[in-house]
Amino acid sequence: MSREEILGIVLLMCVSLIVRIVPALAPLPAFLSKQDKWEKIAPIAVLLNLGIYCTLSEIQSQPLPASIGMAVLAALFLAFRRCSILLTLGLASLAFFATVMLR
Amino acid sequence: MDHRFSLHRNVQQVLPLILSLTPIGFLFGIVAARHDWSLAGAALLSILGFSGSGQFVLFSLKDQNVGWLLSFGIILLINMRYIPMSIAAARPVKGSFLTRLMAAHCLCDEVFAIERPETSKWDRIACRLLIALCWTLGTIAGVVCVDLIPESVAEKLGRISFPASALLTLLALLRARDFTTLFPVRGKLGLLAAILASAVLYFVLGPRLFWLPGIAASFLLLSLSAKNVP
Repeated sequence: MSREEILGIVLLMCVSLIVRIVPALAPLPAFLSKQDKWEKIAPIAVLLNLGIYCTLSEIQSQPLPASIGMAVLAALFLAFRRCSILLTLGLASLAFFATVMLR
Repeated sequence: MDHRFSLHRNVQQVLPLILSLTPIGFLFGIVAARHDWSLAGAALLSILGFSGSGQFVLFSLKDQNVGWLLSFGIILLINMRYIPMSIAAARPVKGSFLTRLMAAHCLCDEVFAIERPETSKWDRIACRLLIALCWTLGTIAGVVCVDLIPESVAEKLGRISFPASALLTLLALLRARDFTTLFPVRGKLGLLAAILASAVLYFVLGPRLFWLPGIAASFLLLSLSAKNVP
């Protein structure tokens, strides 16, 4: 392995150590351990921001195809209470790729 | 609900994630090979530096001749979102130091999205390992197949980030729906306020800096909307 490969691996390992391993292994801060809500609400707060990041970054990168793809996804999500993840994902992706091809 | 470990159930649960992430792992393998990385180097980066977006950013920064220290700072900033995720996802995973270390390292956005408070420790570990394994196998396949893929096709493959983004958005929506079921009126208001606040922070602070303020604002608004509700 080259020096660049080793440095790249070490760099990402250090990032994982700081953002994933240390927070998971270190004791929970006292102010958080007293909050029952932390475990229930924190995942939703993180996911919400992930969803916003994914949607906005896709739309910024390819405005029309991503907007149409995400609109299909939102429509299927709102129309069907019990939507199949694979089917919804497949149709939204199909709309995205079809728009990319047709442009 | 049956909380016993079942490999079949776990594979079923992570199948949509595998189908959307493995091609991106494959694409990463192509990118690594095109940067003259060896098979061992690319595979080890996917195992030991398992980071998805961080791995792509590493090569993009190298293309721009950004130094190692600055690259580290930028990738760290992008991955800051894992801190609250790791804290929230760590408590249910009890066991030896090595088990917790491995489970923490293999946590990714998509697995975090499908883990529920009732998900058992072994189900969590199995799903995390399955995704990390498929990502790495995708990378290996990408490095091996690099010569079979023309440059123009590889460029178009760059667009396959959409299914993964759509999947994360859908998983976020599903989790948000659960929240509004628990807190019908105030929950919806809290969610709307949290979405608005995070979107504003995204545009004001940018996609790299908005993570921690966005998560903090969402947590605060969602906590307020769930306050005093049984």
